[in-house]
Amino acid sequence: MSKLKDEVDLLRSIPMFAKVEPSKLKLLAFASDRLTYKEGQNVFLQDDAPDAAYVIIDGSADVIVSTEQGGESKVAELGRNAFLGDMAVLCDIPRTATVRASSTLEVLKIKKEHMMEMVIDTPALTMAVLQTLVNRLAKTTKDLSEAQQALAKQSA
Amino acid sequence: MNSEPSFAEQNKPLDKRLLRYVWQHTRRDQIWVIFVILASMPTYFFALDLPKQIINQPIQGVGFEDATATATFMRLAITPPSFLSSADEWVLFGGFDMERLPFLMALSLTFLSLVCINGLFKFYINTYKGRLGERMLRRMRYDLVDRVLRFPIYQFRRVKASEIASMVKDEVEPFGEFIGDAFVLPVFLGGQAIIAFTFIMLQSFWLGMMTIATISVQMVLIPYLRKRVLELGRQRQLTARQLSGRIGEIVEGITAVHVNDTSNYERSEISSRLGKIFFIRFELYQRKFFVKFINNFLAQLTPFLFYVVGGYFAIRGTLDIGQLVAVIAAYKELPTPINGLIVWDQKRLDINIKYAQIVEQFNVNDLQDAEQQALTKEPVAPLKGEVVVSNLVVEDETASVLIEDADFIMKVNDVVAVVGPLGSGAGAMAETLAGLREPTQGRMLINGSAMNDLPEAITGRRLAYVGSESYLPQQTLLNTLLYASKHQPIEEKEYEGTELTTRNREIAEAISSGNSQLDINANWIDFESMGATSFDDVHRPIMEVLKTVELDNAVYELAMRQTLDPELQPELCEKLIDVRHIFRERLEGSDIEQFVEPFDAGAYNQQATIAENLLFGTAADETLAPENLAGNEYVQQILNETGLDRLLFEMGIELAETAIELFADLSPDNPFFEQLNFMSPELLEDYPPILARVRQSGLDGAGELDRKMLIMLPFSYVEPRNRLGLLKEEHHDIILKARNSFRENLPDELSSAISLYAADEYNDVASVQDNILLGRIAHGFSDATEKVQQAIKELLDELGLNEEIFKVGLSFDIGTAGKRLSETQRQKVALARTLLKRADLVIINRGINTLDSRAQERIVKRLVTLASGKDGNEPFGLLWVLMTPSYAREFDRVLVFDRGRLVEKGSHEDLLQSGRTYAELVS
Repeated sequence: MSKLKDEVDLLRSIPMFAKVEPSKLKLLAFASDRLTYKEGQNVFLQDDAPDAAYVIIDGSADVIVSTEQGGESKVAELGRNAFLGDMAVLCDIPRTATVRASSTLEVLKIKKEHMMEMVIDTPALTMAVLQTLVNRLAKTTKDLSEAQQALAKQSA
Repeated sequence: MNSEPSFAEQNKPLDKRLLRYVWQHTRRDQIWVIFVILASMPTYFFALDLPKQIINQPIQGVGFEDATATATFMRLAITPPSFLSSADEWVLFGGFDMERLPFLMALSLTFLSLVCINGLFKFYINTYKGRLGERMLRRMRYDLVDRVLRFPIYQFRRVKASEIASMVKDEVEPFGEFIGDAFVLPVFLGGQAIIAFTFIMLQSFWLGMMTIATISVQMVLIPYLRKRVLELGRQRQLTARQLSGRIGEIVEGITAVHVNDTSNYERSEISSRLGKIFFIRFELYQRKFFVKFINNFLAQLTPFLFYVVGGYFAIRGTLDIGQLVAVIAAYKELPTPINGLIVWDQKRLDINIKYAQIVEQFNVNDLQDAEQQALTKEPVAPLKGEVVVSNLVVEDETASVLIEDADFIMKVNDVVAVVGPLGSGAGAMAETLAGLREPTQGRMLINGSAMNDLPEAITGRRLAYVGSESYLPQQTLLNTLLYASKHQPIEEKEYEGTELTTRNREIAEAISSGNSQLDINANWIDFESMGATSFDDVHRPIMEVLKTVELDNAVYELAMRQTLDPELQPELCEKLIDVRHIFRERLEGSDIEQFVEPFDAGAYNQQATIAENLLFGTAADETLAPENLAGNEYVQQILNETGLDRLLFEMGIELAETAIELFADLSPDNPFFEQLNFMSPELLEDYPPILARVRQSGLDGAGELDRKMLIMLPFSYVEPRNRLGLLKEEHHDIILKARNSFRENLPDELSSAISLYAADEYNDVASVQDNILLGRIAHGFSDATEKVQQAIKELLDELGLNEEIFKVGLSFDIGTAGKRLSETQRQKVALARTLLKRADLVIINRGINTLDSRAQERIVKRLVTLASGKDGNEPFGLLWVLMTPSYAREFDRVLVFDRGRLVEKGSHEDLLQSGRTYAELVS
């Protein structure tokens, strides 16, 4: 079994790529770098310009945002199959958080231009990206209204 | 002896008439050639006369009727004029009496020696004329370039570089040949014509008049017909020059051609120009040959008249037949010199027109006074006092106003920011101060003297200027940086033996052509002006300056990419091999150990390509490049013997299938193609038919080309990178076997095509970094490259090699116009070069606008600190036209320009409160 095949399978297990043709996923995997990070190494830093998206092949990583006091706060932990940094790449916005390896971490690094090319070229992927974005927006809106209600209750 | 032309002479415009210009410089030589030609005449006529004597006397026996008769050889006698002596002749030498056979030998040998003498005369005259022409050509080219160096700057906005080059190089070329003959030929041919003509006149007045008549028709008609020919010649020259200008533009603007798909427009434009040139040249030929036809016709018309008219007179008895025959014989001599004269005249007119065309371009108004560029050997005193600008108005060539009525005073060592948007006059102010624009009105004084009149020895050494675009000619980075210090030879080169003879000849020739005699091989580097103690010390101030402009790391990286020749730098290469060993030792057990896989003669290197593993060396040229390996006979033999060909063939099929599966649908410019490391995109479509064929035939039945195309692919395969699982552990041994076999039997003719890896040898084809590593950085680790490079750098620092590595970096060839450097690097180099001069006032016109804003801010701060002398160094003046006005807060004073006017001046704080424009700009 070649590593490339594993990577293709991994990509297919990610919802956004589920409907993309296998040969396209193979191309994406072929063009990507497989990288290993040591525990504690940063994959990317908050506020940096995005250059790539990452899929975790093995190991785990922490998502960390900097607090107003200049400290750090861990907001999530990601494991195998997690797709990270995708929104920053697709929307070309600075990284919203720092991602740091919390164990030995193996990732597939998908370069921005390859990701963009794939999205433009593959209608199934374009739809999937759109759905993901809408879902996140819906979730954020829901979170926001809940937070507003909570705030209203507090002040009341 | 100082035979360099005086400034007054250099300032005179070039003479508009070529012959005058030539006569001015070659008078003595021209007269000498004429003299030599005259001196050669007697032997020439003797040689013509002698064959007749040989045939008549010894051969046919005239005067040898009797067997014992003798003839006198070498008798010298002259007939004196009758008023001096009544003797028939004065015998100077009685001669020898000789019999018939010895006489034949004597005459024949005389003939031989005359032929030799004639030949030598001709040889001498031709060489002399050739040299004369070449010297004049050299002088002319030098004069033209001298003028280019003194053109007013605005002239360069009008003329194209390639047109000037074409004028200096190609258009003056035909002059050389003509100059040698410019005066000699007419004198010589004219003389011949006059003699022949006088002879005809003496024979018969009327026939003489007839000759005059036809020649006059020739002389009137031919120039008339030629008028158009000359005009065409002028057009030909202009169109050809424009063509080279256009070609130059295409080359310089080639990127615009590609990104705009205008290549066909350019083709059509070139085609139209070539067409124009063709029609001009074709008409030229037609007319030229027509003139020739008329000329020949007239020349033949005269004998016709001689026969008719002369014959008529002869029949009537007024002219005797002997005279007629003599006249016709003499006339036969006449066409050659006359035609020669006509050809010469034609050439003269043609070249005169060409010359006038060139001179017109080079005799520009406002040519800089040569004295301003005079060589100054004494040290130039530092600038002091104040720069006073009053009522300054600057207009460009189209008379639009760039600066209107500017007034300000600054001390030479003030630290001043100039702000204002593009076109506000801020940039023009900097250019005017640097002498790149002429003030239209008003005054610009430095320490009381007008800045425009200062010699370049002062402005070029004590002032420094850098704009945002600097042209960097192709040379090493070191020489690029040192360029600004090469004002005069600092230390003459010592010559000995044959070199000295050659050098003396070079000087003598330079004098003869009025060229510069300064030795380009002397050491021109003014190390003292940079603050160095000797020539060998210059890298120290260079390193400092490069740190200031943040270029030191880039130079280090360049050094890592350079190749070194162990024969030229044996010591350094040896030290680098030591570094290699120490690095390898330290690697073991360190936290970067897994980032590097060293080359080991007995092991397969996973991180390197199959080709590299097979060759175990670096290909020096194309012979053993991966795409040519499969076709190489020796490599084929090795593959065959080891059975590696079967493995590679099968891998090749899989790789081809993968490439087709992944890439067949993509357009060739798709970014994914960059990742296809084992096949060039344009070959992709060749593979489906190859696969179809070999699937049937297998390896043994496959065609030679198909085999090659498939075996070629896996040579670039790297398992950890491509991750296709094609190369398994058990394959490594086969490749290692092939490696050993390749190395052991390497034929001599291939030994120069490869530099093999060896633990104790420096590889002259691989980069410095590859030599230190003698291995590959592993794929698949984040930051592996950075960490390994960092470790190398630390080791080099620790071993005290940073200085030598730095020098290696400085030997990097920057490419034409510095194109091998990035745009930011070019700006940094230009700035570094400016700072290296240690001028009293440094003017920066935007300068580093392609750097990112953080780097710009750091460099501005660093330079302001340096200029104020806060680091304990010598303070200097700084006038910086800033791209980003907010950096102005670092400066002592600010000048604010807006729409050509100097609207506000003062300190940053004052202007923030009181200045409207400044406050707007900074906010």
